[in-house]
Amino acid sequence: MVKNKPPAIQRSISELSSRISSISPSKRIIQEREESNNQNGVDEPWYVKYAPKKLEEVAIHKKKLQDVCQILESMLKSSTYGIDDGPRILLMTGPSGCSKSTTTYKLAEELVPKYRGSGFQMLRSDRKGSHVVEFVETDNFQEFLVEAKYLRGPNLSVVLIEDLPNIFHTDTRHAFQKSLLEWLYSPEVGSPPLVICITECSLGNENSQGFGVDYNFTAESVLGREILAHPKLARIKFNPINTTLMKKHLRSKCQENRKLLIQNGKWNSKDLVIDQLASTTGDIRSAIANLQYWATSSVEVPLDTREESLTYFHTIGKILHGSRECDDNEMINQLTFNSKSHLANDNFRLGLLENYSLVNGGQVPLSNVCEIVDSLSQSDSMGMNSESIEFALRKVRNQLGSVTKTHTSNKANFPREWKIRQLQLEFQVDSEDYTNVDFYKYHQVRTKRDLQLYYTHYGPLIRSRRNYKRNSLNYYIENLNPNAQSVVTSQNMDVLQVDPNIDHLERIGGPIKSVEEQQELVTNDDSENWRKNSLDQMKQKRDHKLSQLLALHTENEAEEEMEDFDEPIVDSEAEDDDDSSLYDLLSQRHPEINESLSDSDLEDL
Amino acid sequence: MSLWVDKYRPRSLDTLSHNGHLTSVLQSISQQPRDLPHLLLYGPNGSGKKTRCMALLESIFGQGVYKMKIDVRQFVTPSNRKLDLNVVSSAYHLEITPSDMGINDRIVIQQLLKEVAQMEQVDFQESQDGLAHRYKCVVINEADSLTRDAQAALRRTMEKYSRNVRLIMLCDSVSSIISPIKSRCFMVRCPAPPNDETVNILNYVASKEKVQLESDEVLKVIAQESEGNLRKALLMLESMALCNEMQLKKSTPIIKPDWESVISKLATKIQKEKSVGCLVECRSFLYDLLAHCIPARTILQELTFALLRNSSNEKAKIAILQTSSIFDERLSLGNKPIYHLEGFVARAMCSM
Repeated sequence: MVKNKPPAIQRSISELSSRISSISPSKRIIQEREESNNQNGVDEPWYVKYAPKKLEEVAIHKKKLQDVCQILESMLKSSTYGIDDGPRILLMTGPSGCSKSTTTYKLAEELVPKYRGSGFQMLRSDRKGSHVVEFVETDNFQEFLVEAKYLRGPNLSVVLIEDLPNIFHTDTRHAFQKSLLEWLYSPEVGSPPLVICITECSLGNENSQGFGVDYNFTAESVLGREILAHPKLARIKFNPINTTLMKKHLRSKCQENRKLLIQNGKWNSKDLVIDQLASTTGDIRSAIANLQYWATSSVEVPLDTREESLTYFHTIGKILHGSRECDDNEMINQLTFNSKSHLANDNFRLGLLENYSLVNGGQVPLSNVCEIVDSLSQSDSMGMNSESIEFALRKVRNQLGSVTKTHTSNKANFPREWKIRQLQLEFQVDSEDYTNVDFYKYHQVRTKRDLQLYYTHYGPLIRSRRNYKRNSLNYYIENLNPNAQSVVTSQNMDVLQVDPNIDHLERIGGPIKSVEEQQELVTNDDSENWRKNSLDQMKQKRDHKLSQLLALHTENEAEEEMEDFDEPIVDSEAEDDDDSSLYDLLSQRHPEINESLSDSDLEDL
Repeated sequence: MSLWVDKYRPRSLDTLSHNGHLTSVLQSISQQPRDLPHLLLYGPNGSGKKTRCMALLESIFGQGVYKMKIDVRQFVTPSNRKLDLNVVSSAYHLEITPSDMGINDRIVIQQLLKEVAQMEQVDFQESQDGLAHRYKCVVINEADSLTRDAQAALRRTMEKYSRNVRLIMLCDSVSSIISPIKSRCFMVRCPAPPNDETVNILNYVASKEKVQLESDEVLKVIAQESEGNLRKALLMLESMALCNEMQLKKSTPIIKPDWESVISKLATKIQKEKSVGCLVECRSFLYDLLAHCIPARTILQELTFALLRNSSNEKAKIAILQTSSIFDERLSLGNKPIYHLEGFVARAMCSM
């Protein structure tokens, strides 16, 4: 049984939503039609007609197949024997038309019978005999997973999730992620193997900042970091089908339709067409459809393979390392045409900045690097438009193109910008907290800039020293007689005033060190979660402290009003020696001396 | 009082230190509080603009100006977004800082001034000439970061409401203040204290706080390092004294703000190791400086000066200054500072 669906040219919101309407009944209709069509076999697309019947026919690299096979088998094993080792979810990602789901179906066909226990089968009639149970969008995902849990023993099946719930809706996406996490963390053992296929693509949405599901449909944005990092999840990345494999398959299709090709007078030019198709696309579904189109039409038609959509890192790699297939100019033309959604985002330039040093193992002449960074800087000052980005692309490629190549592959880095933004936000919350303390406890107004430059460093440094002193001083005071106690206390007000619960004793924002680069994609969702955890907590802490401070402040004020003309605590008449007698009034000042009316009264008038 | 900077901050006009001439100007202004002009105080960071401004207000209104509170005010932008802003105020004045409000400063300033102006101030306090002054002061910190838009809006407001409102603007440099505003203000230049003045002040504070000084040398070093920034000098003195058991010798290490030391380390690194690897390493540090909200401009400036200090070649110096000015311009045009900072570092490496 082969999954039938229209060729996914590019997964877009509209397509996904239209698929919501094409529900399971229509699937069955297609199957029925498939059977009836099999006799004449003309109306049917070739990629359905010649879909692999056996595992060996699937267009997939042998090594990759082995990997998938191994993981799936271990999952089936742990399900049958009720042991908990090996992964619980197999995630397959890659562009469309690279045999992800076909592999799953064919492998399930081979492997499931081996492990399926004998006994009464409780499958629904439409799923009877199948080795794969697929999630259909109309189902409730949570319920589907709960039901799927029981597909074991005699009913053992591979649970496949290819149609996703409407993950563009934030709440639905979070619910989806949550139920997957529950599946991963569930203490129950022996659940059936869960396979998720995600066709990665970028969605054309140009006016967006950051990296999220709305414009990058990738495993990172759909599933989120927590799921991907889970040890019970195995991820296999599929690549577009390579040229050799593609040619082999296309040739066999031609062979099978020899008669038709000869009839249309195309038999002789078939190799040329196959070469062309194989070199332009890695999508087998689309390649076969193109071949069919070319073969069945009686006149000469141009070949038009679907545009390739590339992943973020792939696009960056293309710019940095160049492409072997075509020259730079053409490649950039293609990129600006095809990968708009990556390029329109500032993330792309940041990615270039982050990764140019990886080219040639870091062995790029400094003068070239200088030009590269300069061009990025120029491009940034030109603003966010396609011209400025194209300028940067061309300049970077031009500079790197002249560098002699030795091929080294390094893992690319994701820009740190979003991490920095998060740190800045945290810093801001922290420094607001600091301002509150300085205002309510010490009655000092701080401007932001002074905070950033001086107080966030010196303030905590000085107070942590005082706090250290305070601890020993407190001990000393306890062992004095009451009279001496008050003298020492008044002399050391500065020190004793420090309260480790209120004052900041560490550099705001932590000591300055280097920020490490990161290799994972950070999606908006992830950073949102992150923010939720840390920033909200910090804000709560700040607000809590603020209320404490306010209470303290009003208390102090009340006291001050009571003892209106009392001696100030800090007394500094002691030495009044030198020319700078300007200061003598200073520390004696009392917040309010001759005010008959309080401020609030004044304001009421 | 918490820090020595605050503890020894002069609070009235007659206790102001350094630049006595300036103090007498302010005193003469305060003699005639009814004619208080709009003021524009300018001078480098840490030269005592705010202190002077508060002292002036104190001499006009009395101690009440130091009794401040923070209100959260709400403003509505034309696009109907609500904007919360903390406004520090006393019964006699209020303070705003444009950097808190970002690009909406025009709306905030207009609404705030209008609000203040519509309320006539009644003052029961007895003033020297027996007449109450009926205005409230609005202090604008960092006035040089006001957008052009806000400045343009200000000039009309300044005239319209001058009956009830007086503006006191504080800024580092007047170069970004538009001339109509300059012409409506009484400009007061607050110069940074000369080094020997700084040493005197430090000496006074040290003796008050019973810091044992081996000699004045260490104070001279601090004054030198602080580059006329009294705030920085006092903070340095205090942290150094506390870290060394209140005993300062000539050899006591200077505690500079950590970001300054990071930048000077970066500068030596750039000069020693001109390679792509070094550039990549520099990026991590630049990123963390940005994460600590150090303004990109300040980083660029500090880095330029550090490079100039270390360099002996005149030609290289000129090249560094030139690139620095180019990237300074780009910083203000672009929106992601990291490109420009790294671009500057790369160019500097090449030109040396």
